[in-house]
Amino acid sequence: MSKVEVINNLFFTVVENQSAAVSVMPDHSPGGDALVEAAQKGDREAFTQLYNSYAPMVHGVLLARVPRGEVDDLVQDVFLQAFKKLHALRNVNTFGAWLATITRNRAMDFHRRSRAEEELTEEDARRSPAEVEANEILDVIRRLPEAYRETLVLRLVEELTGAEIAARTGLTPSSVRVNLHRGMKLLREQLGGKYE
Amino acid sequence: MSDYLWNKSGEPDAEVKRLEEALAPLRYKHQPLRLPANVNHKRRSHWLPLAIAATVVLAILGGVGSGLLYRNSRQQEVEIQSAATPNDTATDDQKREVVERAAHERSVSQETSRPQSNLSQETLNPNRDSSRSYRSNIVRYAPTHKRRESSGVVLSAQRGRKARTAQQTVAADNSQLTPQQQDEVRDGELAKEQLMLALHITSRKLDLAQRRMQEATSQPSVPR
Repeated sequence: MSKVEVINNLFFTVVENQSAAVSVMPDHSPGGDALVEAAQKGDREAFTQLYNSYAPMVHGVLLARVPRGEVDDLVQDVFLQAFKKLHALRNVNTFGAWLATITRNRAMDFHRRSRAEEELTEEDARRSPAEVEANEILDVIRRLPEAYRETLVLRLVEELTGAEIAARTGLTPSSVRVNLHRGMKLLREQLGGKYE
Repeated sequence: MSDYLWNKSGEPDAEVKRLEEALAPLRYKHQPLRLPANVNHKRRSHWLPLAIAATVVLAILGGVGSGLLYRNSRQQEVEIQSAATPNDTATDDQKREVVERAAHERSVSQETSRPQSNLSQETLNPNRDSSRSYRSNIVRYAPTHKRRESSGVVLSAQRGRKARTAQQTVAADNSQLTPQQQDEVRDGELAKEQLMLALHITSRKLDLAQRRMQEATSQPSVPR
């Protein structure tokens, strides 16, 4: 094997071993900047439009981290918190990344003040078989590394495309692509060909 | 990676499709946004950057002030020393003569191979004991106008107090320290005194800035 080949192999091994791609880029969702600016001035209608656009992303990020029964309330909490702090956002281009950070922090905060998990087992008993299956897959996804789990939930549960995920979360498209690819590979391994 | 996983275009990946269907019950279901009617925006305090800037400026001013005070005290110390030395009454011409004589003696000493250090000490200040260190024999002269000012021992009360403090400190250690160490101790005491003063001023100003900031933040925030 030549020296060049050895170096190339080493380089690709290092790249493959990286846990996740997390480069961040400005959010360029269409019309988003104007809406954010209007919402910063107190325009509730503009903020409601932002909510409609970003709620699936917030829902997905929370779903990847907190119990399903808590997600809907936490989505409202996140947007309320964002509305209160919106004036502090200096670069309106980064609204998506900023909102995703608030969401992740809210999820961490939830776990710090975590309530008893027994409630969840009661909920499980009332669920339909489809919901039980969905929760089983979600549990598998939640055991994956954080960046993969978030991207996979946004893609498979919320059905956002890779470009939409990048635009909503502020990640670069290439990061999302890498996370989707590696996350899917890991998920296939974890599921053991059950859904092939 | 298949196009379907990336952007749901092209031929669907069977496994991805099945996972999407299985996970559908968890998908976001639209709910109206619930914002309270009166939401208080947490306004950024304008006092905080102002207070930080003020503190920095005050710290710089304090530093400069303490530097000036230290320089003045050093000047005063030199005046006191020169007032206490008989050589203080020497005119500039006399001093020049002493220096020239010292240079001459040094050249002679090189020829006669006498120890240079002893000769120079004796030449510079013959009244002093040659066994003392070289540094202790150096007489530092204040600028002429300053010496004229202090020739009649016309020192202000503050200057006198500072000088006495410095002299007392040095006198206490006189028996144990060499003259060089005494000088260093005296310098250190003066520097410490000035630093404490500067820190005190800065601390008071910081307290004031913090109090103003607290007053500003304790006011109720205004909803937009």
